[in-house]
Amino acid sequence: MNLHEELGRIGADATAGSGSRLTSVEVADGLGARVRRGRRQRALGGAGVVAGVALIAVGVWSFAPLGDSGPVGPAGTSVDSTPRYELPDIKGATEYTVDGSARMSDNVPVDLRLPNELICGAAVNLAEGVTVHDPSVLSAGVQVSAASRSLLDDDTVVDDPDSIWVGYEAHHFETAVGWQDGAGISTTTVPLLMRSGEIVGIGVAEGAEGGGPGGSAESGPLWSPLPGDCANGAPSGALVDGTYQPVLATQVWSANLQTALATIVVSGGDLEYTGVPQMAGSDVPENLATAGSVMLAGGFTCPATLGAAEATAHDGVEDTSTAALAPIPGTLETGRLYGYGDDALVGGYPAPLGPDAGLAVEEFGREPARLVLSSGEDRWVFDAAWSERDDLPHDDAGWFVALSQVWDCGSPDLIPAGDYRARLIYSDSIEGEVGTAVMSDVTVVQGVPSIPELDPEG
Amino acid sequence: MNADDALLTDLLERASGRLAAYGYLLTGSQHAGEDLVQDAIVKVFVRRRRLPNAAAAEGYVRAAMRTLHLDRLRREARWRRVAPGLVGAGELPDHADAVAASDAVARGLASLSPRQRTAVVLRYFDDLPVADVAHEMRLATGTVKRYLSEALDRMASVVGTDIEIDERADVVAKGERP
Repeated sequence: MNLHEELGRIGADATAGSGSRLTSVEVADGLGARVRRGRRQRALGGAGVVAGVALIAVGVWSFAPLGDSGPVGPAGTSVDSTPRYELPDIKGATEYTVDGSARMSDNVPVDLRLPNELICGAAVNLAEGVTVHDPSVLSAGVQVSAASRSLLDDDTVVDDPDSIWVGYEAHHFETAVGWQDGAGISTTTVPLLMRSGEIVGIGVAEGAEGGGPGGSAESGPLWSPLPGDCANGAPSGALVDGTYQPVLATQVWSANLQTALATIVVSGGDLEYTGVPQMAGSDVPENLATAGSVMLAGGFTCPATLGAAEATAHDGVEDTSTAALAPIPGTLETGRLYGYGDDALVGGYPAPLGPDAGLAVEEFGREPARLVLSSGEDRWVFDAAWSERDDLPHDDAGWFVALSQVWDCGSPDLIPAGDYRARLIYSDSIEGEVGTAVMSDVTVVQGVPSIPELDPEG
Repeated sequence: MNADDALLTDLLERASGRLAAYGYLLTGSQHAGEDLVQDAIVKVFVRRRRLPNAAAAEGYVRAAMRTLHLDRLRREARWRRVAPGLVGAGELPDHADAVAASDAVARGLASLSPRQRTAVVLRYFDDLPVADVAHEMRLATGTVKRYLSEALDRMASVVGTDIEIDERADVVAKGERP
């Protein structure tokens, strides 16, 4: 008996009619709809993946001050020469050294430090390679090594890609920056996205400074922005599929950041971006607060909760420029917090986050969670719980957060209308740790103006 | 019709019968097998792989079917531990049951536990080496060998023929593959 053939025969015999069912118009239409819906969800999720990695990258990219300690040999020995710093070997990387062979130009193409200069829509001429603006930099021996890569959603890494499926693939530069003598210099490195000589995306800037001989910055991936990722202004109009150029720009500055010494540019070349309009569509919720930074805190006890209200962005381990959406509305209504109108709404009534808040809920919406609103010395604490619902009579289907005041922690009074500092203490920020998200301010308004049929004066 | 839709249509027209059969072999149910086919197609096409043709797509879908099926087996195992009554409820008899009833080998296959059945299908229908079956099922190689041995014993007892000797000696001669 050939079991392979027997199994094939059994399978074929047992599935009479399956072929015609699977090829029916209804099944094909249903599959098509599920595929489109799945792609949509993955596109939104993919943005989260990239943003999340970018957050982590900030932590990875740290300066390693080796210089001040000087070269040290084994115990009892002396080292009489300066060790030559070697950049980590990055496969397929383009390597540039700031030396005498570089072109010289007084013209600094763009100031990577200045928010009013590094903006989307700015036309800049970023020439590939090294441009020296001040010869004093030559003695530092600055080196930049970067390789263009893309990370697919199945964790496959593609070297030197020529296309990006936005939402499914993320472009980055595997990067190392180092120098032979870091005394008197600092560096800033920013991944940019260019199109026709115009900045259309700005990534997270990283920097390093100080150190004497043999200092270096560690290597790591720097994630390229997507078209329209513009930290300091409105996105440019380039939210279309097409050819873009990811660029890694490193600028060497004097230690006091007064003089630009050199600009090093590594280009990822022309990449065909697909899926940009879907990613840049109107699905990003506009009504949500943002979480500007994250720090670890003490937990959910009342003292820890109230203490978390004191957390500031400076306590965080992340850069505040990497703001993420938080699953809390930027405006809260007392009608939903405490109930409104003949029990039409009861306390802790769900507040809408919109249909596309799933990513924010996934990021911060693990329960238990507490929202702390503070003003001066006053604190109001709310338990937060998230759900996706389509059964609420006054609200469209989507994600919601129900906020229930914790009466025995913080102020025992109702929170009055006004602007409040907001902190979200949430579960499992990093491997089971409780975290605190430092959020943008939240406005509390009286009543429930989002439901005119209940609150016509709202 | 865009390229993806055309490829999907082509895939269904060319391979739906084979995929449904594979789904049945894995699940033991015609309906569940069809659902598995559809879920796997969605999984493959959502990820926008660059699929050159329907044959390549079929390969991806078969692999996805295997992964989805094994994931479900593991999930059901977890549920079976915490809520035994919830697993397997709602399955209706389908055409496959009639086939199984009238075919000795099919009856033998139907007599296997889900894990034994899966091991048999991966080993003797997909022709995976035991080590690969163990990897796919996240089991020790020895455990897979035990599943296969028990499965063949059980099937032999139902069929009334010594499947064990034939199959263990030379399970599938590659040249005999259709």
